[in-house]
Amino acid sequence: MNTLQSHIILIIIFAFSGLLISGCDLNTNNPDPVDDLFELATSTIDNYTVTVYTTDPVSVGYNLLYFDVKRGANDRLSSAEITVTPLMDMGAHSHSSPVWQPGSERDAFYQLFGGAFIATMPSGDMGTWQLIIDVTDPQTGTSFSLPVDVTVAQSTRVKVFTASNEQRYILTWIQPAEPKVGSNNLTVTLHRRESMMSFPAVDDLTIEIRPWMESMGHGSSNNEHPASTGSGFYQGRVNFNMSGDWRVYVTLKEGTENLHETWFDLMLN
Amino acid sequence: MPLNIHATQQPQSHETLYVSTPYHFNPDIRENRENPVMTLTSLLSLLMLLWTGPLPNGPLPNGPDTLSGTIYDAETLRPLHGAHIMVPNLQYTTSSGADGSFALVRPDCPCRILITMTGYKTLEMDPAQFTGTPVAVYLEPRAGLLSEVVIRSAPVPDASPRSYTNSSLESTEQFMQRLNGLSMIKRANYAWEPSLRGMSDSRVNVLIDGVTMVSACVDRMDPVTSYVETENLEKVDVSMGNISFENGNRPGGSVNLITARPGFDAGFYGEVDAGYQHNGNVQKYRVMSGYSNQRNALQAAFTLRDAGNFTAGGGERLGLSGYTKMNLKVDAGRDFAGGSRRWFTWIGDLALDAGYPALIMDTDKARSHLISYEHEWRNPGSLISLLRVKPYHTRIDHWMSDYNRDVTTRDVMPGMYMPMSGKTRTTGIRLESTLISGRHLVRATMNLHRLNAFADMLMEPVDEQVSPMYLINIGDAVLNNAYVSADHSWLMSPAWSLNTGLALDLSGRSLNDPVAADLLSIEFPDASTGRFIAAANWKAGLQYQSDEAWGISLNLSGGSRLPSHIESYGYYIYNPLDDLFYFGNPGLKNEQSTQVNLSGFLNGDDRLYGIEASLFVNHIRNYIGGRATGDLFAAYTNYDAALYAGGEAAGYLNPWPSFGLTFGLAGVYAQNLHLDEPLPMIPPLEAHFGLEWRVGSLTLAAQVRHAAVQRRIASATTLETPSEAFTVIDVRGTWNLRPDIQLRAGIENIADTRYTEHTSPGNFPSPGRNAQAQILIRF
Repeated sequence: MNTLQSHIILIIIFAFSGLLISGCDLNTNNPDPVDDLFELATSTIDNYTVTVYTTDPVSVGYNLLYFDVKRGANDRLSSAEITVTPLMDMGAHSHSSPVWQPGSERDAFYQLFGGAFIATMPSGDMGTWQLIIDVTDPQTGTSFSLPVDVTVAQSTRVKVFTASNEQRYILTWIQPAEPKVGSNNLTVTLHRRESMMSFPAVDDLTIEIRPWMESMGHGSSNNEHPASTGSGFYQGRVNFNMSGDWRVYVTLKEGTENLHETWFDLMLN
Repeated sequence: MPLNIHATQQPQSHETLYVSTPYHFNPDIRENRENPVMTLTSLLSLLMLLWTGPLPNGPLPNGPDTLSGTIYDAETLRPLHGAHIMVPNLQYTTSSGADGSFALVRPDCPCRILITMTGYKTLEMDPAQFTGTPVAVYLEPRAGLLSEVVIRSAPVPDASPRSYTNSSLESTEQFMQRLNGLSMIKRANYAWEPSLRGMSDSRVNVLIDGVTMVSACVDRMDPVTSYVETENLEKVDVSMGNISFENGNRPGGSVNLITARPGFDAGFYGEVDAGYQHNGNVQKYRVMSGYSNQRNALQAAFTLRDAGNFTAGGGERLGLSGYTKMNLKVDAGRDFAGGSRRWFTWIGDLALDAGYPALIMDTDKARSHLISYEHEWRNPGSLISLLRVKPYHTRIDHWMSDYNRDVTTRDVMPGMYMPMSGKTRTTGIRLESTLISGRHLVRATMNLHRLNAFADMLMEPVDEQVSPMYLINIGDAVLNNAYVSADHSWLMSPAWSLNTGLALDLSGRSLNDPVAADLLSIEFPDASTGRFIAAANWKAGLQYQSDEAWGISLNLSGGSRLPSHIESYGYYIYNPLDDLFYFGNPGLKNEQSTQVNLSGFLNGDDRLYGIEASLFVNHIRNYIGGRATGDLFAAYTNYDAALYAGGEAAGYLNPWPSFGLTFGLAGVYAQNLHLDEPLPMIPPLEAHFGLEWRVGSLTLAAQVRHAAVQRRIASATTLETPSEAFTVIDVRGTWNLRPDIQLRAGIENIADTRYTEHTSPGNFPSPGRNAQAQILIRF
């Protein structure tokens, strides 16, 4: 065997060894799921550090919020009373939006306190968003409040309208966030504007959907109208039989009476 | 049509030691064979030995028990290879060898011997003419014959009086259209699709040389018939209903397009063919050439057809009705001394810019390949007379679009272009064997094949602000099919015979594209896109044939048709009949067909006249058809039952040797019993009348075809429109300038009648007056 052949064999052995080694998972530790979240803000008040996360950049629509509360440097509170108040400052007046308050216990997946809010309009010339976060440590009874500025991007996933019953509703498209061709789980939320600061969930109305492809003049079949599952959530199934521009018509009904019809425009790739 | 039998027997001696006879039915002959009995094991082992040498074989002895001779061209005196020698009662067929010789064990019945060959007039002989020494048989060339059509509407077809041989003065498609019970669905001036007794599409199995080939276009713009040139056909084997199981079991029957193969020991030869049709400025050029010696044969044929827009009767010029088409066929064969042959065949076809005025799209490009290898053993075992193994592969790619249409004004999907593509691949193997014992004959066929099909569609709005859309029409469907059949013929007595048969269809199928499967599951949540289905079929027929003068047969059959891949998995398939988009239904049940067929024939003395008739009833349970699910959509579904009933009659009269008359009449009644309305696409009552006159080297023919009005239309399952009656007259002539030069000319639709075939969607009119001329030079 000459030198060149020996070198080639060694190179092959090393190459295979490298492949084998790279194929082995030497790090058996699971990555921290929190690493996938967007950190919205971190603030320290009275020896408490609060970090606010979202799953995606905040935009008009349904936004998940996660909170981590530490006492001192490393003492992560196992329970906390957290209240979130979204606030849109429009100069002349302010208003809030629908919100799901975080639980007092950390969730199983992120080990954070999870909640959500609906941004009903984007940040911009019309006004700015803040999340007013009130925290109470149940062990010490310490309470504090901190504001977090939030920039909300535009989207078309929220419909705010006045229905025929003179009530003003907020209808929000949650999923499919990225609709695909085929059958999709559908989740929307419905809230009523009781006042500028109160938006209770509505669970007693009927919602019907009608996906429609305007350019083709047809819809899809065997959709499931979303039904209330509580806390303002309605779940069903929506089907798209091809890619392209779709419009999902949503009809709000009280009994047999149509209260309002609106739609969401979607683009399927 | 007259059958001018020309047979002479010369006292010269012929060496007929070479035997090309695949069938024998004298049990004594078994003693002369040394071959082992072919078993299933050895049958399977043959699959592994495709290129191995032939199995040993022995010659038939010459003597009083043997019918032997040599077949010659009556004009050139060249031996003819590939002539068919048939014993009609038992439906036996053999062919002459490379040197024109043949031998056949003397049949144990008062049978006639028919000798046929493409391009020659059929010769009928009495076994008594074979006295124990080889005879010379001379076949008279038929002027310009390019194709032959064999109809099997009864188990005794060869004894029937109808002449199913093309007069050569019309294309095969035109000739087939004139056949009783067969009509053509025309969507364009190209790619006609055969319909048998009102059934088409997946109810008729269309094969090329026995090979399963599946159209790629989901809108049926490329029927299998479009991938073979009519000039390359040797024979079209048409089986009406469940008469024969050889070519698959479908309720409508089968059409096997059998292409011509080169003969052996012919040296260098060829043909040049050029033709022109004034209507549509159609030009056709064909070159065929080959070389063969005693053992090897190679032949290639290339055809180019180019057509512009044609003019319908009355003068309306139809835009987008032209096409360009090229076809290349290559055959290579090797003949082994022991009675074994191998054939390699490739058929490539390319169609470009084929317009479909009846549809909303045109074919941009259609490309197909058919590759097959065939290994045939003759008399490989004491019981097995023929064994044929044929692996094959076909691939079709089809692209269509409406880029040449004004899409802004049409009713269906206005304002957008909808280019579509489709492809199919079939890979399979066909096994055939014939077993003979005494008066029993069994034909066994097995066809195993896998079908892969995919089709998709892009929708591009004219308004650029609207996003394009994409749709999968067939999401990677995979069908693994196995078909096994056995036909048994028993010659109970010289007059009576019994035919029975069993067939089994198995299919494991799935839709492998997850999105496509998801979409279908939305439409049919209770049906699985992956499943295994099976169908069993049976038949029984009793025939009585006293002699050549008359015969009668009664056939019963029960069959089950598996849903096609489009019926099962199609998605958003446009149907021009009702402007609806169809969804396949993966949960469809098999169609169950029960058929009764009664046939009879009567021949006059010396075949001066003859008449035959067939009556049939076909009751189908779980009939598969479309059902509208909205203003725009329909889905395939099973209807409780449908009924097809009808009959055909045909006859001839040969008052003088050079003059003949033919006539035919066919009608079918078809009803959806579930909806109590007519079934769609059923041809009206049709009649034809023809005459042919031969004077020396000149042959003149005229055909009159009349179709009645069709008012029985479907309105619930689809939106048909009635069609009016019409009569079309064609005249044609052939002049043999020399034995190797032939001129043809004719005028179709001489009265320039504007007419629409009922089976043509979209009221697509047929061509008006069309003068044509053609020259054929052989060398």
